[in-house]
Amino acid sequence: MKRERAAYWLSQALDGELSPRRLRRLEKLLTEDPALADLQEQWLAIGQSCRAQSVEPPQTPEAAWQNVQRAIRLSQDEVAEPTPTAVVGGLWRWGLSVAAVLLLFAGTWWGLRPTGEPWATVPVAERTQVEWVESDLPDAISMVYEDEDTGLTVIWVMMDDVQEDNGYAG
Amino acid sequence: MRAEQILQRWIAVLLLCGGLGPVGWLHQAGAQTVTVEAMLIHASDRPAALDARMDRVEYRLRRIFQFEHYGLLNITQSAMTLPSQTRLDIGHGYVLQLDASQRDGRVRAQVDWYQGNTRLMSTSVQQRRNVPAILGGPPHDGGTLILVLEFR
Repeated sequence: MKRERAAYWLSQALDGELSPRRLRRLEKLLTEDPALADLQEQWLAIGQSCRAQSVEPPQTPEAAWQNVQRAIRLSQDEVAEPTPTAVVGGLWRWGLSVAAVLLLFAGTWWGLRPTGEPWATVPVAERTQVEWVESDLPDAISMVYEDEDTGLTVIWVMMDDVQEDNGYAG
Repeated sequence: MRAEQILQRWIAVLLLCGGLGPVGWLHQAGAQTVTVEAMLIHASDRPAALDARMDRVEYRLRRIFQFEHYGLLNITQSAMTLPSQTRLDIGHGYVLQLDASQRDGRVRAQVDWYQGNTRLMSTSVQQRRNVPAILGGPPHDGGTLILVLEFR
């Protein structure tokens, strides 16, 4: 009975579940009972053997995914291994990329460049000449204006009652 | 006898060519074909749809006038052999009558702008090709009409 209790305590001690007080008593029993000490050694050996042959716990999905990512990364690194051909190809790609960007900028600049033509003023010698202007509208006032900014000639008839709203900038 | 007939026909052909040649030269010297374009625009402070066909002139109009929006009502083009007269239906009940001729490298045109039987404007201008003249002023639909007249 005492041996059975001691074996139970030994099992608890190996599992780390024995209280300090009982652990002290077990240590005393181990020194007094060689058979109990042998049992302890056997159980320790079995434990070590089991740990040595233990199977790894099943892989979690997160760990499996990390492994997949690692494998992909490693395979890409292998593909990107800089060989002389790859370096030359890389330079070509860089060159083409830079050329494409420059072309894009050039195209944008060309499209948005200030050509001068949109704001070109019509030269004085080419401006429209107005000989006369009249209107049959009652109370209409005719006027001719040469806009200096654009060089265009404006021929305008203004109703007497809408002169305030004509929007004319001149 | 047969050879004589052939000779007579050749002489007739040569005389005909000789006569028509100067006529053709005179015709070329005096007559020129131009394309007249009339762009009818409604200027107002009400929003109007953008029209790419006005790109050439809208920025100029914005420099000249103070309207907020310019809406294209119609574009009319017609070929004219100078000198000649033509009548252009420029849309929305408006009509242009043009009497154009060539003078000193310019197109001299009398322009009569009608709405029905009412002559909104009558003017005589001398224009270079590709230099538009801006006519306008008549009220229309809460705004003002602008007519961009150009010979090309």
